Amino acid sequence: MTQAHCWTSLRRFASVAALAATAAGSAFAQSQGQVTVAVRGGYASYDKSASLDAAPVMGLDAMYGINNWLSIGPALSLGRPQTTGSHFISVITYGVLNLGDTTYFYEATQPVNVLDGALNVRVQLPGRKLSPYATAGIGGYTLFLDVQANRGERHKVGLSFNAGAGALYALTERAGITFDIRSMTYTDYDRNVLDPRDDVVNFRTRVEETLYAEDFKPAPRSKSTVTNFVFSFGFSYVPFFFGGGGS
Amino acid sequence: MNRRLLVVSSIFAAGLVAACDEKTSDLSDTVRPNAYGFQMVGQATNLPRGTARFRLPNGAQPESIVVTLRGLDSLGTGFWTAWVGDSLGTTFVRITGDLSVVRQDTTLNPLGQADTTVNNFSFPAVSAISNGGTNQVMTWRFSRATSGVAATDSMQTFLITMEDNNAATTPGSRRFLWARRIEGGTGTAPGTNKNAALKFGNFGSTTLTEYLYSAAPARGRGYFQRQIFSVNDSTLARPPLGFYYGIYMHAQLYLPGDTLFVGPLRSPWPRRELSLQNADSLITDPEVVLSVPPSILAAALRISGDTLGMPTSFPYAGYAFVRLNLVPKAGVAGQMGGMRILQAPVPFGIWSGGLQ
Repeated sequence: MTQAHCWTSLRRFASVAALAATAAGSAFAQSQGQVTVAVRGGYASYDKSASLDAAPVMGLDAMYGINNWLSIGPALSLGRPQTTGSHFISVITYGVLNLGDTTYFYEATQPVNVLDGALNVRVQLPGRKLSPYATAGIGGYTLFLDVQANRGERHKVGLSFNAGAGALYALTERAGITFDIRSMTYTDYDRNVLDPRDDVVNFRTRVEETLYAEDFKPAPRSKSTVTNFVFSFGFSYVPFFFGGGGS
Repeated sequence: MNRRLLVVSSIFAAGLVAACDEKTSDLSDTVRPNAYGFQMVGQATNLPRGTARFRLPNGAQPESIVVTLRGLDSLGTGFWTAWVGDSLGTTFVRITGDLSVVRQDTTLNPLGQADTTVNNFSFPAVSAISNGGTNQVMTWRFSRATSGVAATDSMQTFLITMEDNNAATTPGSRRFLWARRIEGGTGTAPGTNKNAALKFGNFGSTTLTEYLYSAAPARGRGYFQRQIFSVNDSTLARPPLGFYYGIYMHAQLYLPGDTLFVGPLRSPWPRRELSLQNADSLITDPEVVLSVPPSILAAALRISGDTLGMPTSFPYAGYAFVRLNLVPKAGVAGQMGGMRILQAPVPFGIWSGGLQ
């Protein structure tokens, strides 16, 4: 995915959030029949085996209140981490060995758009100015790989789970700020899709297949299930057309 | 309301900027300095070698053995010691003979040209020596009349061993060079000369139990990378008892003080802590040292120049060759001998100081 694609994706994401924001009245905590929208921004720390560097992440939760302590709704998050270059080192050797050759060492990195969507359930302690909550959900994730690095569109889809906890601090009756810590578990994860060395870059050898392997710290063992953590702050509010009333 | 919107919009805008920064793919981000490789090719020159001429007695002329020797290095703490034994190779006695040495010295004259000088030396009644060198040819003459061998002792097997001192009365286990009279022919007429080549390896009482060393299958490669110097060798024959493989670097003209002893070979990564210095007699690493066939499948040596006191910049400038040698354990510590197995030229940019 190029930077232009990134902007397009985020623009759509921002439109939804902005629409919700403009619709927000003076809002407060969860109550039955209301939809609470939370726009989150923070940092994602990915599993070492995921071979993704930590990166900023944005999220949007829209929770429908079943009663004043239980709510349900979609939760989206989008990040754009860079792949960990030290896990994808390649070697090019120029010249003929018996005459003396020269070997170059390269890291291969690419930006990846990580989109995660889930249906979450949230349990919240009602009726307080500082209201802690717990949340969990199931959904899916998609890794959109860099188009240039992969010579075309390439993506990877999988099932994801999330679970976390946070707290809502009420500013007004219908608005507040949140702090949220959430684990995001990606199943059927395949780190190899992030590796452009074999399919994309010609004339290169993986360093781990050469006599130079010992010079580089080996990448963590590949895992099919990776657990990542997202730390975020957010702004939570109840839009008037979802039960929030006028301002 | 407007103030709230401003706060929300600001947070969101900051997030957008952070998420959509100028990240692009980079498949060629250079890491680490370049490595400059070389290939080591077989040399196998200057291994201990020679011939033994067994002469049968003829009337008043006593039985004798004349041995010509080349390729013995100087020893620091030990002695090359001569023995003679029976046809079974089980009973040996120390033998004394007259040694003559022809040494060719090469020097550079003021014009930079090489001058050679031949010097002759004679040493009577010698049974062990500790000096040697690639520039020497030794002729060692043993006669039953003067050798100290009793009339009842057999003179059918000639043996040279590496002993720790000059007091040995029986040969030790380092029996690396020998010849059998029977291998020089079957004639029995008085005065017959039987010429047999000296064999290098581990002596056995029969040809079936002896081990003949061969340098032929050895091969290797390596590289320089700033302070790092690394060599990987493979398919080496196990060294004869009393020898080990060592890596040296030296300058172009072999001048005194221009040789660097890098160290004995070790097991390859990830077991570099295992030295192969005793691989002649022990299975130091079952992964690479085999008894049958007696071989070392892989070996390596990797150093960082700063641990040897090399300069910070261009640490290997001036060194022209990398050598893998057979080194006698009783040899002079750190001194490069002549038993060369593999050699490679140091990449031009490294030895000339243009690259590091």
